Amino acid sequence: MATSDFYPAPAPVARLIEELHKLPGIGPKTAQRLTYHLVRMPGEEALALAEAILALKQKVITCSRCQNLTEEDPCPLCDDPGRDWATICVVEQPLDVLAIERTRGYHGLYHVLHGAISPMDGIGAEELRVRELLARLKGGSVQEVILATNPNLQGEATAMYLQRLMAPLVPRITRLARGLPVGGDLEYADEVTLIRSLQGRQEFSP
Amino acid sequence: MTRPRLYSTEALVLRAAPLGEADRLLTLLTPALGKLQVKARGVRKTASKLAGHLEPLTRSLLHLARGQTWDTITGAEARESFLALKSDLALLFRALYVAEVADLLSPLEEPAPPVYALLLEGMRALMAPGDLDLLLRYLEVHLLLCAGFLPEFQQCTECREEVAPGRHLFSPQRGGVVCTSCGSPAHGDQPISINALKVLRFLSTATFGSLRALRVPSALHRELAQVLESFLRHVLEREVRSAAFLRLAVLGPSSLAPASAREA
Repeated sequence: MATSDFYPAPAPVARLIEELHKLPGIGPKTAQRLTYHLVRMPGEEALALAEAILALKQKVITCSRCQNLTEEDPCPLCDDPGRDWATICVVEQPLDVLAIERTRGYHGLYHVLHGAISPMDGIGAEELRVRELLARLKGGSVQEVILATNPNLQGEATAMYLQRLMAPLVPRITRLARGLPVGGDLEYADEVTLIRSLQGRQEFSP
Repeated sequence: MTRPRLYSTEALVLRAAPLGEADRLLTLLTPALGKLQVKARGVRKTASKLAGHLEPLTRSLLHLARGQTWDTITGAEARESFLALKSDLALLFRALYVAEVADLLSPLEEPAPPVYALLLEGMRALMAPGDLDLLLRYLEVHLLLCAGFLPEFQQCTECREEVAPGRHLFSPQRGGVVCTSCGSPAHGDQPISINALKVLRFLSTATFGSLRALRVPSALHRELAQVLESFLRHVLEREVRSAAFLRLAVLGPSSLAPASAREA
């Protein structure tokens, strides 16, 4: 219970504790601490936080093309004539788009699935934005799809699943290289990572 | 059983769920300590040294430190990665189904050497040629046997009479086969063919090696899957979530399309 049975907190305090407790990674104690911190906070700062949350829900939509979060539809990335429209990079989450954009090494478009296939959690293709991805490929202008799902069990399952679905629709399907991380130690690498690194080795020309 | 402050164990990783910023909560099956839920710190970071050794469906040697809520993994070394299972969608869905059934049927922290041995043999058998559906039925029957829930296949669970051919039903609620005098389809008892009953009796005493000798026609396969599915649903009081994916894997690549995409 978030509140004491003997000295009940005022109703608005108890309500906020309950709401914060619903957030991922926030336990009952953290929810209490955050709530009492907000009580002590200057009024304008607390208001700014409340407005930021409201704006998030009122202004953020998903782009009808790439399914990424955006303020306008289509999103700036999908609307940019400077990008390579023949390549689509498929990622699990909007945060993955930010990670790849930070590299400044990719100039194509994206497609955000909003999750990965996870049989044990009952998450299948119906729960992901797979139908929207297939619709984008129907036009025939896409030449390459890069599968950039996470290199873990769910990500691999999703990549294998999408490969089967997209094979008739797009000439080239590629998967991000899996192998040794930069800054890693070979001796700590597991068997699967080493096998993938060997399979994906390339001509070396420094 | 109280575990020492630091301990080592071999384990098969059954499932992994994200926890906090970069951690995972792992469900492990170990031979001597049974099913455990442990924390793996930082394994969602790219440069994590442990991550590759702790993927689901990996047999690893683990070092752990006892914790207040969850024990924490301090070291891991993969011993068997079952790469062939993870590189084929149909095999992967089957392996995940077996892992989920084992997870749901195993209580926490109950030593389970037979379940552990069965799962490892099962994962290896899934990668070998053979009747994979029959293998799944074998694993379901033996996981139920290890958990103490093996249905009765010989006598009526009510009157204890040997069941006569053609005069029996299967009742998940009553724990097995019932004769037509004791059971009735009106009470949810379902018909079961004598051949299905024979295969189930065979499976409950068979070994992995003896499975190869058996040939099962596809109609009988469907009946066996249905009988065991209804029994598992009754015992677990819920659906096995990955079972739906199993049906997709069995049907082949085209059926893997989501219903909406097939209509399009």
